[in-house]
Amino acid sequence: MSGLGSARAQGAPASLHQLGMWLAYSSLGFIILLAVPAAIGLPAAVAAVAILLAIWIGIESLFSP
Amino acid sequence: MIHTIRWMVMREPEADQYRIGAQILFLFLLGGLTGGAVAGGMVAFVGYLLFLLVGSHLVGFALASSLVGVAYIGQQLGWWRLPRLSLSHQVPEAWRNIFAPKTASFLYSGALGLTFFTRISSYALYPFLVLLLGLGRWPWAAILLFVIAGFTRSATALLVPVKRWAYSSATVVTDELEPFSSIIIVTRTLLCVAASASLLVWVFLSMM
Repeated sequence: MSGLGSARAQGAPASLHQLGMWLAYSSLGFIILLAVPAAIGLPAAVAAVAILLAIWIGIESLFSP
Repeated sequence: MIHTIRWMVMREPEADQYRIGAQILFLFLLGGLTGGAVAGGMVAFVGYLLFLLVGSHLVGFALASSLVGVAYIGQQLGWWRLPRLSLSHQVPEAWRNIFAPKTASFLYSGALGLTFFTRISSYALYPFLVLLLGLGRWPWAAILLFVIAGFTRSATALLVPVKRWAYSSATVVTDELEPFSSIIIVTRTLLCVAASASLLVWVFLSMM
């Protein structure tokens, strides 16, 4: 057993497990998002940077005055 | 934004708050998505015109985006001051009274999704915008990327039911967000550094 499963089996806090799951789902979502621009020929590196910036613009607005 | 949703939900009769709240949130998400698509359409149109005029120069735009990112990192660190390219007004709160709650929710979020037509504090917007102007050859990608920004912006409202902020005072909500402000500033700077560095490396590799 490795990774998150191992962490949970060893009694790691539930929050660690949740963080791991959150990261896993986020990574999966990011890859799916990345696939669309890459599929139409946009260089993946540029698409990855643009997607990160787009997501960050959205998140940061929560903390806007 | 959070206060607006809270206000719209809480003014409904208590028995209807759950149902209306869900509808307001759904339309809020839809509004963000639509606003992002409209803003993306505008940027994609300008980018497409540039593509027709001068051809595809993604490497040049990536380099410019990287430099703009560095410039705004300098502003973040207090080295110099640069202009804000977004409009300074916020979405008018009076909309909440003029329109029905669901319509107001869609319009409010749609205006937020338009991104640079409202006040926005994120410096990431500037390198993002310059980079997207270089995507004239891939206009759908530019629209999709703005949809992501608009939708993510509106999706932060999902914290309202998750954190039960509809039942908290505005002061409590602000107090809960306050501890994260320093983390946000550091993350913003690191993200701009990483984005600028990544684009510079890509430009360098593309020119080899």
